[in-house]
Amino acid sequence: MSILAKIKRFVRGEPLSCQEVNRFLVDYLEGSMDERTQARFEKHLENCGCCEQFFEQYRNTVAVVRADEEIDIPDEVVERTMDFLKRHY
Amino acid sequence: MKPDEIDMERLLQGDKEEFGKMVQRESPRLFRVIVRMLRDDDEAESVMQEAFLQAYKGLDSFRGDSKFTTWLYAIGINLAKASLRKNKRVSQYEEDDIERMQPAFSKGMYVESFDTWDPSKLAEREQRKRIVHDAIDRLPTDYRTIVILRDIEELSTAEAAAILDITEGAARVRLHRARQALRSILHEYFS
Repeated sequence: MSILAKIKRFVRGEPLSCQEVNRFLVDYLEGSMDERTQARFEKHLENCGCCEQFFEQYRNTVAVVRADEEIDIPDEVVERTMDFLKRHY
Repeated sequence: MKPDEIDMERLLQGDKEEFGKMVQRESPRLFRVIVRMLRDDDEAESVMQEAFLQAYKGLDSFRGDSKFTTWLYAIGINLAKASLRKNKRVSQYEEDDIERMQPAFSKGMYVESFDTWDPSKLAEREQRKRIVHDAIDRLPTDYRTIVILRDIEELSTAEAAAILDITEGAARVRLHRARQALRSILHEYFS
């Protein structure tokens, strides 16, 4: 499909394809989609088991990455950094 | 002005006390980002110290068209990347591997189907952390960095893009590809 045809389809509000839904996953999760496109995105997800499953895996991926181990900086690292800077300013 | 508040005007004039406050405030997050990139506490400490020093010595070159912290993180990340190039530790995926991990489409539809991940494996914390940790480590540096900034440190797309000196669109595409690669790696374990 040509780019022009894709734009025309988009403007007419025709249903999104799975590939288009896939491309919107980042925007959807960060809440940056316009209302009309979001409605089309959600409608597709409701009616497409494959996209729904993929979306679930994608969302789980983000969730488990976000829950990666906590890293705390030891107090001595900040102290040593301050000392290092005093020596090299 | 409260005692721990930073006077940016004085800081940019080279005031060491104000710069010290910045070091105290930003060290925890900058250290986390660099450790996640390098997976080596000692090297991360050394890179962070160098980043603060470069920032201090380069205060004149800070143009003010981004937040000071954006500029500082860009220095830290660039130094961490230089360290990675010097001491390559983990065997990482190449761009071709990342491409293969993206889902395939035919006529706008997925060519494969997907199942539900095993909830018991998702809930098992220690093993899961190790698997996720290893998966992130194997991503090529640019992909790992965007995942660290966006999905772990939860910076906005705009801020991550500014730190990496790329457009917001490019940051979204890179994040999407990184997440899809991680999904593909994790699928083998979680399905």
